[in-house]
Amino acid sequence: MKRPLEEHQTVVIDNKSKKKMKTDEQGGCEQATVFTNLGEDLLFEVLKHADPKTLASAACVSKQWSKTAQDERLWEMIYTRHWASKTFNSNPKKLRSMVLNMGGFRRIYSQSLWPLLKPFYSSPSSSLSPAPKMPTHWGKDEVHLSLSLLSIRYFQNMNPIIKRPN
Amino acid sequence: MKDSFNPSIEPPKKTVTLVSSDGYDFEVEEEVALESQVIKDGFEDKAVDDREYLLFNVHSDTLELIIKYCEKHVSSRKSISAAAASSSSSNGEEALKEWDEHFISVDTNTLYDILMAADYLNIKSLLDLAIQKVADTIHGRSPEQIRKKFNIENDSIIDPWASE
Repeated sequence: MKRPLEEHQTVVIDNKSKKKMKTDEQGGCEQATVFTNLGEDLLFEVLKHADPKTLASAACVSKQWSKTAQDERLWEMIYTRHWASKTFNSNPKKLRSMVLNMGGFRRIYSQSLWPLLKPFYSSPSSSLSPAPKMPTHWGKDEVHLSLSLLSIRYFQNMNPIIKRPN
Repeated sequence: MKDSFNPSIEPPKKTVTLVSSDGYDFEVEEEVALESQVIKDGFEDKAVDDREYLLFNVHSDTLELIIKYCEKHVSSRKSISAAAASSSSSNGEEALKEWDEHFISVDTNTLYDILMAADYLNIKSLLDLAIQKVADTIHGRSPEQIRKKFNIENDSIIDPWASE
């Protein structure tokens, strides 16, 4: 998959081509560790650029990726960037405290927004081709709907706790 | 006689020596080396003649690329500001962006090396470029595809995507 790119690389490094060849031979064993040593901070920076589908996908890659991708800040960034920017521009703090109290931004995606988005992602070929573009301007109604769904679930989950004493 | 009487006595450009982890010396112009915030900070602290930097974490192959990047950015910054001063229109920024795009189109191992070196040397623009490239690479991919691309071992217990 990455063969064609290497050709470009050897063009870049011409005056040390001899040494380059040597490291290429070693490449086989080096490959095993590549990108596992990426620090959490750098991975976080990478995932800042991810869309929700990619972020969800990244969370399943490995333990380290999973831990980093579940960071609420990343989900909040996506939520405010893609969905709520217009609706809650005036009061981001209010949105944050409300959402965090009811389970967090990641939960909004997994429980409320993800089912709504199914039509976009349900085609079987989607796992092979690049993700279809996210609608970047989601309307006010959809944002409110997602928040309503979140709060409904929140209160549904509260019920068993209240009932338990009976 | 004109005032530019002897151009050959012009002071030589100041240089800095960067030593890679595998022991290769790279002599670069000072302003090129100063693209690295780490070297810049060290420079300001020491003030004097220590013009050799041992870069324990950067292999010569990577260092060569990094220097290439810094040289390009220093020179095109100059030409962009020169074009701006003479108010002639130039597409310098556009061309540099294209150059960056081409520069970062490397295989995964090299991308990783550049990313780590840019982080270590604190070269912000290069770090951003590399991070964006990694982000583009994983965009829309499944966990298995990401693992394959970056040679990451799946050490998590459950893989919800495995059944698909």
